[in-house]
Amino acid sequence: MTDQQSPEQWRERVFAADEDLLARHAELVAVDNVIGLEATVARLQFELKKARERVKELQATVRTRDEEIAAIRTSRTWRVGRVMVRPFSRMRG
Amino acid sequence: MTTAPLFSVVTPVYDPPPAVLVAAIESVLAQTYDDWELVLVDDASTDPEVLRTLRAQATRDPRVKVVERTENGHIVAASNDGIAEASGTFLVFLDHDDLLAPDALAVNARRIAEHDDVDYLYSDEDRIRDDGRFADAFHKPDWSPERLRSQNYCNHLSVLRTALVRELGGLREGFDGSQDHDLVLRVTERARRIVHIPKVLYHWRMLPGSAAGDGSAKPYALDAGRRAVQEHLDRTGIEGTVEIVGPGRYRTRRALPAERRVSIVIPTRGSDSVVWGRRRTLVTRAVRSALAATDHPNLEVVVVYDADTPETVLVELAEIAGERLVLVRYDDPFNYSHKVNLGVLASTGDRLLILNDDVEVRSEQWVEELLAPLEQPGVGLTGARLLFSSTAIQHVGLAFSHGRYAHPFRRSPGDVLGGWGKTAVVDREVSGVTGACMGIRREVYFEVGGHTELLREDYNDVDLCYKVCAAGYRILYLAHCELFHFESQTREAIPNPDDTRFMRRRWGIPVRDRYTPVYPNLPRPEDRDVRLTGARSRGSGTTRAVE
Repeated sequence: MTDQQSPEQWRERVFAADEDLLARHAELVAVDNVIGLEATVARLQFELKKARERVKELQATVRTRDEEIAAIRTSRTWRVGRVMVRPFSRMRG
Repeated sequence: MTTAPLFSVVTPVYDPPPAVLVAAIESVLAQTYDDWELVLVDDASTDPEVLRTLRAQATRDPRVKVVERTENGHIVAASNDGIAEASGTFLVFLDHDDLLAPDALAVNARRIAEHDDVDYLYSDEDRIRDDGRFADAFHKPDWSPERLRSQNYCNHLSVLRTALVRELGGLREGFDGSQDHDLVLRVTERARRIVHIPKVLYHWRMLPGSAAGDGSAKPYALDAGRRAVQEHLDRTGIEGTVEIVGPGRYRTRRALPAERRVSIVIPTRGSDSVVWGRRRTLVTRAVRSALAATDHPNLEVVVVYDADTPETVLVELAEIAGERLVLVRYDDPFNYSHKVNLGVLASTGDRLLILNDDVEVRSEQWVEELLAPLEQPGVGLTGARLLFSSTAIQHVGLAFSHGRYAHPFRRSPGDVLGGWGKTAVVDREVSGVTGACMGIRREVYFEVGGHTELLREDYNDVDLCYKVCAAGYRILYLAHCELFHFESQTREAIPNPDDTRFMRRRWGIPVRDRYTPVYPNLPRPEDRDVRLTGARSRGSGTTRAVE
């Protein structure tokens, strides 16, 4: 303990909180909340964009497959095959 | 979209073993991209076989040019002759004993096509061992100007816009050995866009006496490098002096203006712990060491103490810090973020230094070291190098990747450099720094809303770092500011799953870290994903919202 210090002197160093501090604290918390919401929105927009891109990719794949199926169904091989297996499908009922 | 660019590959040649020279030329001839020219500059090699080899190679392909110098002018003069001869839009420097990856030019051309304004591209590299195997890949960070001041991490493969290099006068005489570092510093000061390609496109051969084989093989290069960085500081208006700290590594010492008011904010409950065999009160030890290791005149210590903190601790703090002490009583249930925020609100400093109470400062002038970089407007946050009491590494910057917020090199011995890139011991940009010791400008702290009080225990520092990055600031890890952090080395803190979920909701799942893309203690596969109850898994393809 130095000469200038007393055991009680620490009490003089305690910060006195006031209304202004509470207001500034509320402002700080509000800024954090806004940034957090903006970040969440940005993340969701990013995920939505990726999801839409994926949907487009999948739709393109489905279109390609549909076209392939249509092409197969119009082919002579398919039609001949259909005629050949028709008796079996009748048997199946 | 630009048209396919022409690359001029410039190779100064001086007495290489003919076989490795041919291999280097072959690696250009084997490019999957066709629009290139190879400018081979013979710098008056003493071995006549070299010139014979060059002339023979030039007959193989019309795109191969040979420039024959009559006298040896060293690397700078020879490279400048090559630059003068180049007709391509972009310059590519290839050493006479190294190799380009087959798709090196194709990958660069693709990236150039994406951006008309790109002036400089760099990519990852590895080394060629004696047995011909590729090894020691250096996975580089994305653009990291602080790291470029600390080391020439860009190096190979660098692709530079020819017009800009010519405008800058090419390579500079007097910087032999570090001429490439000097050029990259000058080019990046002026570049409109800088692109990092995270792919190994260059193989560096480890020959005796080469920089790849022995970083200290060219001692004259070190001083040239120091001067190059010093001149860069002068040109860019960064006040500081540059020192050599190791082979190819530099340290920028900056001054903290005396008028800057510094507030050291420490939350505590006045607890004690056994450190180096003795029971000690942590906060008093932290404050004593913090004040002993700085001469900064304008400083206060704000201690936010829990209501049950022993009075003897507060008395001792008043003895240590005297008039510089500000005590803030905290009566609420534990919330680290709330405590720090209250401490900051009670502080008066325009520079904040947030400190855990279980640290001890090891470096002299640590306040100056940590806070002086904040004088640069683009720097928002700084962090220190933290060691366990055993001197093992606790913190050398955070990496956000593989679904985790990790401490690279954690528990590695304190003398670990961090691989070829010396990642653990160079000042550099990082994605985050630990809350145990961070420096921040007051206005930045308030701009980003301080520590989020929605995270009471874990990740509040990580969240703060995300916010600082989102606001457009850089975060620096300062390798020469060292503290002990008396955290348990053997006990791994298990993050609160709620806090993990919060982070993922706010910022997404981190996939690849921009500044530490690869490090030795990457998470184990079983640690990579904490299950999100109440929410569907977002999958591994998600990246963070802010890049």
